[in-house]
Amino acid sequence: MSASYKRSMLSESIGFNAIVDPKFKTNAINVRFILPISKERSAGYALAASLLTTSCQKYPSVTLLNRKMNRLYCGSASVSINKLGNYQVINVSFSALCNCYALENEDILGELLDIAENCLLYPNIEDGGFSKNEYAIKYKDLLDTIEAEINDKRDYTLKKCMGIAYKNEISAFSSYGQKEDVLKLTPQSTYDAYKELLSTSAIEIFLVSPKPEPSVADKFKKIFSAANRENPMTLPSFITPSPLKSKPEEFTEVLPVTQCKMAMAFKTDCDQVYTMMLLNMLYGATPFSLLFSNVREKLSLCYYCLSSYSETKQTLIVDCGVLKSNIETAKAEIIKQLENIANGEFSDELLENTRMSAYNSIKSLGATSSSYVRWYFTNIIRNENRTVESAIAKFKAVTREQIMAAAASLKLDTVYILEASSEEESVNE
Amino acid sequence: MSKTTTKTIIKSNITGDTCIKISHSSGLTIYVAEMEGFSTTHALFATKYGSINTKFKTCHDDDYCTVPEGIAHFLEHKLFENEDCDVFNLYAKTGANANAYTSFDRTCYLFSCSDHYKESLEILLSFVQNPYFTPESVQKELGIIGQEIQMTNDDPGWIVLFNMLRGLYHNHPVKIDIAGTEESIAQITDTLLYRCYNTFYNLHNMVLSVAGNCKVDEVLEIADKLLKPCEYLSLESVFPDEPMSIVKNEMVEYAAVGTTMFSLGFKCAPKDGFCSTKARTEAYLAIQILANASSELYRSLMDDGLINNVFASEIFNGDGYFTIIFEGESPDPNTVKDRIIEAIYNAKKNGLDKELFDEVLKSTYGEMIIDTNNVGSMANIMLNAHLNGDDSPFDTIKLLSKMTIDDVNRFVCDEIDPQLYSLSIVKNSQNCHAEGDVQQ
Repeated sequence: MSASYKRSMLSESIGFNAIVDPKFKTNAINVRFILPISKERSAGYALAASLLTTSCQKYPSVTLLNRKMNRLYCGSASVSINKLGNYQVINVSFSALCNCYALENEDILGELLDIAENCLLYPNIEDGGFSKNEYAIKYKDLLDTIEAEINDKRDYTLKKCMGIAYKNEISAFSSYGQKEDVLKLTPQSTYDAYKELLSTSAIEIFLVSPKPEPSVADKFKKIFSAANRENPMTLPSFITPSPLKSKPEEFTEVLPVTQCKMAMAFKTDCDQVYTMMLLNMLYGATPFSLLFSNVREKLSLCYYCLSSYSETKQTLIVDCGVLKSNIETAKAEIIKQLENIANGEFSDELLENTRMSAYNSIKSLGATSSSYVRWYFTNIIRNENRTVESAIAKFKAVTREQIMAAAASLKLDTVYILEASSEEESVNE
Repeated sequence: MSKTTTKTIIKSNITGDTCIKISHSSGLTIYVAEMEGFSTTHALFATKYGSINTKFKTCHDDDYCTVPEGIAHFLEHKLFENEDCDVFNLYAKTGANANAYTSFDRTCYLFSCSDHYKESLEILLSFVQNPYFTPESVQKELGIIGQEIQMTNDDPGWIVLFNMLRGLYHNHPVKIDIAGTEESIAQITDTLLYRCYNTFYNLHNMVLSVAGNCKVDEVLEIADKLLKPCEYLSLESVFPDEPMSIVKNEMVEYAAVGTTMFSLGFKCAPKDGFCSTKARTEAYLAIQILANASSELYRSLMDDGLINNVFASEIFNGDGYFTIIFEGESPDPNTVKDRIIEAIYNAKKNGLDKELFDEVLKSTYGEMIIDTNNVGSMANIMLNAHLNGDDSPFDTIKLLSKMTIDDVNRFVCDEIDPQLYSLSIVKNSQNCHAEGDVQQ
């Protein structure tokens, strides 16, 4: 039996996506809550969501819930929070082994659904707010996550660059809030955020299982019927291109580090997503791209120099680690390579190899449960019914001229430099 | 040297998974797992050669050869450049996603793909067997690796780990940085690279692991065509004597971090072969019971705000080293250390909780079944089993099915000495002068 996909609507604002692939040994459920990013509310939603998979009325502590998950043969309940354009996407995931692997004939899926229902509908509440003990733990976790952003210098550089590139836009805010927003939260206000999250968000549910499991859709219909959803939003348009600044903004921050980091944001008005994705790969997203071949291999300027493309913001970001004395050389080379593409100075062989890489990536659909969820969620947000074959055909149809035009459309908007303090630099240069 | 190729089918009655082990006539051991329904293929070609192998000899050498720190990693970089072009450009024609890494005890070249796996496998086997080093290409790589070293120097997770290892190990090269230092790599020459290559990239010292959408006969056909038979060299890596004592109980360093990070290591006696796999499994279960999210210790540390959700534990072992690591972020790492030591003493005295043991056992069983359902994980399971000296990739799950709480309690009592610890802390550099701590 081959894999299958079926989408149905549990209500006007709740989509249910069932993917059946017999090779899997687990049942994986992913519930995606979609809300507009808001400086006032995103931190509350993020904290509330993190509390949902920590405890519930039936398992009223992280210890008890984890012990139950262990008894479900490495079952898991987890939350991750992303930003997609101007929207916050909260992923609440539950997964466990299929019943056929149970050593004591347990109904693992039944128990997993029971946990999902308890976590989503019956959180651990006292005095009109989340349980103080569990709240204190997740509150600290969130504050620590924000404080620790600087620990990963590359990620920090990318975040700072995007913050400046999207200045005055809602997407400049973090998907889980800023420190000052978190500090304003209480167990009660976070519980209110939970109720709002449950009642107003658009919801997409994904089930990836080795055989059809109709009980799961029924269960979620029941769960969200009981959730008193009032005026829920329907799926928005996620494409919100970021406007280009009148002149590029450069920002330098000095820190006691050894290696400088640089991120450069380029913006485009080109809305041809397959062209932009292919351009991104050809420019800097593969180990044979122009940035890798030139900035790293030919000029030995950087250990890494990569590009990534945000379809929702129509923004391409290049980031690298570089010596202070080489920053201007690297910057010039990064811009030159983009200009070279715009001028058609790239080989047909490179273009075909890049297409091969794109096909390889598309054909890996189904390697994991999460690859299915990413694929079909992208279909939903693009309102496009892609198949592997149709996506390959789209990449095949992109012409050299379209890539040149797309490269020419990219304009430098922001440069963020994390500069090594001179003391460190002198030691290491 | 083996003259014939033999195939063995290995099946796990517990998970239902199967793989084929091939002892190839060239000297190479090959594992293949044909995984029905998967569209991708993952291949790993590895040598038992990592950053710790800095002193060695073969049957052709009179004396031991000592090489600069970081040379295994340097060699990995240079192998990607052959005489005609960069290897990534060869993979580009097949669409495969290729990479490599060097760790403490291995260097591994890999690719994953959804099409043309046979062509990619040919590239993999060809380039790893055809080194091309020149003084110019060695010189060129110094800049790139220098940047990589600087990048890891800014990674507080890296700093906190290596300071802990330096606190535990007097002499063993596990304490040195995998990429070496800018000074040590400056001593590397093309001649030295060839010496290391010819010693460690001998097929008897290597393993090929392929999983996913592949056929054993096709893999074998490519192996027959491309593998160059190797003479068995009686390769011997030696490590300096390592006393069962630690260097220092505490190391503090300052860096640009937002939260204070710590790594707490307990030095245990290293083991070989099956004993090592058994000890590793027992140690894994012990730390899960002691400190995972289901434990009382975890709960109390969380309740007191001493750890957050990045707290983790792991077993770190290899040739001549065995360490139990607890790591995370904390405003007070010393109290975390005290509580962990107290929990270990308590387990030694009263034994571990039987109910928790049963739960952790179930969870670990589930985790292993989940791992064998992923192409990349399966390829790594086979590779690790071979490099660890296990008879079968399913040895660990078999061990697990027979493990009792008495085994784990015995490990805690006999193998963990709570005094043999080193606590490494990385604090925010802005607090350096205010607190008056001494930098290491």
